[in-house]
Amino acid sequence: MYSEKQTGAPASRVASLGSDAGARHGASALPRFPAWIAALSPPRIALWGLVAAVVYLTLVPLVMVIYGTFTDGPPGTDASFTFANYIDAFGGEELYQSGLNSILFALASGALSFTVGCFLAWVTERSNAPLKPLIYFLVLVPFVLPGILSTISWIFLLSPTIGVLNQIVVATLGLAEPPFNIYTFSGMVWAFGIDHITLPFFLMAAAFRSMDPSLEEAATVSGMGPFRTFYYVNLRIMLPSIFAVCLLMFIRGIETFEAPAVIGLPAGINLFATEIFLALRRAPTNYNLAGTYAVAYLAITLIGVGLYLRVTRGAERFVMITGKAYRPRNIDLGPWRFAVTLTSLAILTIAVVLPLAVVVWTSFMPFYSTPSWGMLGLATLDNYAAIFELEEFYRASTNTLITGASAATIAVLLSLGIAWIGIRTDIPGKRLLDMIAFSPIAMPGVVLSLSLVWVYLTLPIHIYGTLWILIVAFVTKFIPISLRIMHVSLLQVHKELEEAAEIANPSPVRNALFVLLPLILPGMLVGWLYVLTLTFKDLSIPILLSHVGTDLLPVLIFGLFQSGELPRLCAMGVLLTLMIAAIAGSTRWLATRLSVKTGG
Amino acid sequence: MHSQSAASVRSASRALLFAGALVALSSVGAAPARALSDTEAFYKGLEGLSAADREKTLVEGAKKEGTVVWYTTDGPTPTQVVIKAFSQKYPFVKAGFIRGKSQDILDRITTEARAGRNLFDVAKTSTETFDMYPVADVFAAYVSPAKTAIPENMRAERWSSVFTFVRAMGYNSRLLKESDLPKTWEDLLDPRWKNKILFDPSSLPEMMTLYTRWGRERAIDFVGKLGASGNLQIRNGRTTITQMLAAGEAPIGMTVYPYDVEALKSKGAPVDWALIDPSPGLLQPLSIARNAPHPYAAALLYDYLLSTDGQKVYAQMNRTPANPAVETSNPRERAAAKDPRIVFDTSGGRGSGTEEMLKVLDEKILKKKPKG
Amino acid sequence: MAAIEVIQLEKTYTGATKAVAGVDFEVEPGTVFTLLGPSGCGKTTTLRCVAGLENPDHGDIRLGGEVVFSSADGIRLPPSKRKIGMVFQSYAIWPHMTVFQNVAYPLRGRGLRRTEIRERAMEALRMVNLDGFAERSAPKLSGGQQQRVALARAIAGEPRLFLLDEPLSNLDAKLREEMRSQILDLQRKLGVTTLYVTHDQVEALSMSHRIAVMEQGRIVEVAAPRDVYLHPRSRFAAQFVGLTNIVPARVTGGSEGKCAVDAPFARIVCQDGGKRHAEGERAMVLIRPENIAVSTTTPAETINVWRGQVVSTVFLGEFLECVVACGDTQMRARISPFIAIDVGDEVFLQAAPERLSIIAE
Repeated sequence: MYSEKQTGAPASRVASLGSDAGARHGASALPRFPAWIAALSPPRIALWGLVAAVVYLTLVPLVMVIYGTFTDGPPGTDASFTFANYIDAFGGEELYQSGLNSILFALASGALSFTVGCFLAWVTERSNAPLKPLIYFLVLVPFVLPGILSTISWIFLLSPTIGVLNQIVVATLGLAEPPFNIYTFSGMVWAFGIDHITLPFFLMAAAFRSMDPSLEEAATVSGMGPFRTFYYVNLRIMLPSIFAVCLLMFIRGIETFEAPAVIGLPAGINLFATEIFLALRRAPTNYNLAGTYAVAYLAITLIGVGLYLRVTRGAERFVMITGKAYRPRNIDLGPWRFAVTLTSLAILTIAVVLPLAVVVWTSFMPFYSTPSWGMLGLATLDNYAAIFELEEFYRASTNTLITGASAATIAVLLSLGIAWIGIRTDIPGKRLLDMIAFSPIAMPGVVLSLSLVWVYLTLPIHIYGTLWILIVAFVTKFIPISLRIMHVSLLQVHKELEEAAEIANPSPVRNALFVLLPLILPGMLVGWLYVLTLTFKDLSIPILLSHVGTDLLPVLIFGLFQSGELPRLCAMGVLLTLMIAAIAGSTRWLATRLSVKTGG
Repeated sequence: MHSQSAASVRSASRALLFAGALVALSSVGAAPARALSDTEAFYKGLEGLSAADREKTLVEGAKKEGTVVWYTTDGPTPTQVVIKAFSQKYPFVKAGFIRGKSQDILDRITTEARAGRNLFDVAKTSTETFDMYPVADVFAAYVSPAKTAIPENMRAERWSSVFTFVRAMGYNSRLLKESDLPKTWEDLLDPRWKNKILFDPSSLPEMMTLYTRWGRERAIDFVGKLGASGNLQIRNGRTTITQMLAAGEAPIGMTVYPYDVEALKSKGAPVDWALIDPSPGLLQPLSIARNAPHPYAAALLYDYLLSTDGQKVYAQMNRTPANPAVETSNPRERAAAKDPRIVFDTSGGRGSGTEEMLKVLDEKILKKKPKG
Repeated sequence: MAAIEVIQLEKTYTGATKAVAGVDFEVEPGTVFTLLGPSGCGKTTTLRCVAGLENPDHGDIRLGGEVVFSSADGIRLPPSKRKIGMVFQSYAIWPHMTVFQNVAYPLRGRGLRRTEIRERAMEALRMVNLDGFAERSAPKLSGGQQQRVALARAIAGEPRLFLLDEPLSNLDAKLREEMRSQILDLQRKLGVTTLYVTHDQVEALSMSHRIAVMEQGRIVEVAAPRDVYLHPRSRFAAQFVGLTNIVPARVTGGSEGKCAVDAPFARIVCQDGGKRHAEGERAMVLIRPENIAVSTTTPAETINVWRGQVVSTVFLGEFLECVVACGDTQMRARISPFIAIDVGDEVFLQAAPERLSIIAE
């Protein structure tokens, strides 16, 4: 066609068009296969393979758990069918009070996490407040501290008897009674909420970064001040991000173990998780019973997911990365920017620096006590030395890094596929697929681990006791989170950008690699980093699935906690924080280099 | 008042009773119908050998095996110390381990066994939960000269205690003098202790101690009163409680591990411990797997842990070695094990006693809202 | 053979009304065929069906004789295999690539040598006068420049069909004019068959060889621009393309290509549009504002002279638009801005019969 008549004048091109096209493909046109065979192509096969993988990963443990709730023993034994577990679990009245407490707790802590995280995200992404890298770094810290550690540090700060903050406030303000009590409902909400500001921060930051400024400009020009603009324009458009984050926070709040165990029990506040905790105390552990609680979680989560998908239907409304003139701009705060930075730093100091300080302090002490000048004299590096002498530390670190990175990569790729199916295709059952992939979030980690133990001791797939079972477990557990992140990221890419590629080039692989991937890479990196960090912190999976030689850092930390080596635990926590900070820092650097270049 | 000797006889006989109960339980499965597993047969075969020959055989076999797998309740540092010591003596055996709480370990062992997987060689658990599992199915009957060093009331066919410990009342020595301390559990009801007692939720042995000493009615009644008193503050983790006592969070902790307290005390923390009437004594049963994947190395490790060398390693970490010949840096605990206030038999007769007390503990203490 | 054949196309989105409810048309090779209509009329959906981005529920689509879609036979060729170039409303320029990379993209993976790719991409850029911008980062261009990049990208792959989805709607008026002539030039130079979608009648009229006016998922009228404008055959087309005064009337008679009708305010003589209209038939007379002469003095003509009073005037630069009330009927007229007319003036309207048309009700 054109190429053959390289130097031909335009006129010859006209001639070649109409007739050529017909002659080229001639009378045979296309063979007439039934639609579904014609539809089979490498990309289609890959897609179905993806669906199969995800369904396998998530449904098999789920089915195992549900099956387990109707029997009275582990598989492989002569367990008989029974409803006893359900009667046991849901028969008591206190359960409804616990359930209610859980919901209130989840809502309150979710609101706290979201508000703080969103505010800080706005400060770092849309304003010209100074010292942003510092703020960004500090926000990561609570996310990076192992849960046990941060919860304990809050106790050391806000305990009515020994809490440092209480002592400071009483001393400076001359109060009769210490004002803060961690062992209350609000104390629990605070400790958990403030420890989870990172995910809302990440997601809202990504949303802010991708915002089309003309939308805001339109509002400003029509007379809306910055606050009203924020409310009517920014918030509305970022609805799917907001909803996704709140949903996740809510589910987190419902299923967390640490806060209810470490603070709730002392406070006499029973959450749903407390019931599970108590149910698991009898020996031999009755996992069948625990599974029935998982079923309740599942019901709640699925409702939440259904709502989410309904709200984000009609992806076009939320498009923010278009191919158009695209320059998200910073809002000039004028003299207010110093106040904003100060406020952010103040919040972060209370939320992050103080607990970290307690942890760091303790890591240099032979045993914990309230910081004082006297104690300073006892400072020692022994705890760190002891950690570095632990062979387990090196092995666990390497293992955690390998499993974490592998699981993160697999999870992000799989969830990208699912998100893509959900947003870009009309395949029937895609809502169901999303829900299935999301369902593991409803299972308490311990129950998931146990089901995998059952599965892989039963099936002839020999991964029990290796790193692979850990990777499988992490992927299963974290696909829900990376799915929501990828979903939100993909929503923000205008589908015409992909369609243009579809038209221009027949190779779906090329289109995926050179067009879609670069646009979605920042979101992928966020998801990857998040999953990786979670594997560094998650205890529920390795506690049952780690075996000889496959120990992970969280098990080590938990071991230190259980054997009461608190200062060493803190030293380990500091080291872990530094490790993850290094990962986060380099990923952020990478993300900035790779993300869509903005103007100005 | 009971005289010391009468009391120690009583205590010893109770320990014997308890051991007997365990033995009986362990043997229940070993009724005539049960054949010897390969591992057990192998060990039986070693019984006739002299100590030197035995050692030689085991060493040669272990060299070929090269590995041993240990499931243990020890913390990270103690595990490392012990394994290092073992490796120094037997450098050709690489020791892999899994740590966990006793219940977790036993869960794991039984689950793996049910699936037909034999993955561990040696297990160290705790008597807290031991009797609730089908130990005869998973642990081997093992005879070894090393075992004879351990007092009879601390071992049985399928296990032997590595060290003993008691759970005692911990207190902040700056806030309380020894003379102020409560002497019995009932003293804890005193209103002057309002909100001043840190209490760990996993206190089933303590409850069973009361059950055993006082009988069912009185024990249940007391627990109800204790929960309603408003004196308790629930805190998770005995070792954490110890740390909190040192930090001054509260004056009393129920209960703590003496070795924890001694460790902190030696670093200058203002903590100490004392027995309260009655207190639970616990054993740390060490067992070999009924179908050990590395039987030679398993025996080496097992014997080592009970040997003078192995016991000394534990002694250095403030644990009270079960072998009375080995010196302990914690003589108070060793003495306490013989104290009449200590109750070793916390099984309370298997079954309903335990279930019931656990329920009572949960209902009356853990689920109650603190007063004030 | 037609370059595009669309047969019985239907598409419904879940639940709602039919977006495309039976569309048929043919496009001759090398011509520009425009789908013109208001938003929601189905023009974009039709275009996307031709592109392969949407799958119709029913119908056939053939490009250059090749069946690319057939609901009956279960054939569905993916967009990338249809050899088309498309310009989206949002331009869809990939922000992470340079201008050159954007334009060269369609050429990749075809087994062409790097030098060839470069040559062809640069040539495409030259055609839109952007060859100096090749190494610029795409988002740093202005709207008009981005649009030209989109154009260059669409033609770089030497497609057999050029699809444009309201490409000018995001540009300002001046730029729009410029781009209109650029696109026109480009199309004429390349001679590539073009399917154009717009709601702007000026674009449609100036650029098309034929226009299909669409309403609610159907094609109402297909004709060359002149015919659509001067002799619309439907009320919708008349009102959508350009302004029209629509006067309901009753036919009273007619002969030799002309028709006489009774309107509420006068008798009107108009073209009969090649159709015989029966006496007494109800019809609508279409009078374009620019065909009405307005004067304060009695005009020389005797046919189609009506009296009225000026209700309002608006100065529009090129002309003066005034609304005149003839009895109860208000007529909009567009006249030279130099004529002095004020609100309230009594005026005479006059329109030549050849310039008026009639459609049955």
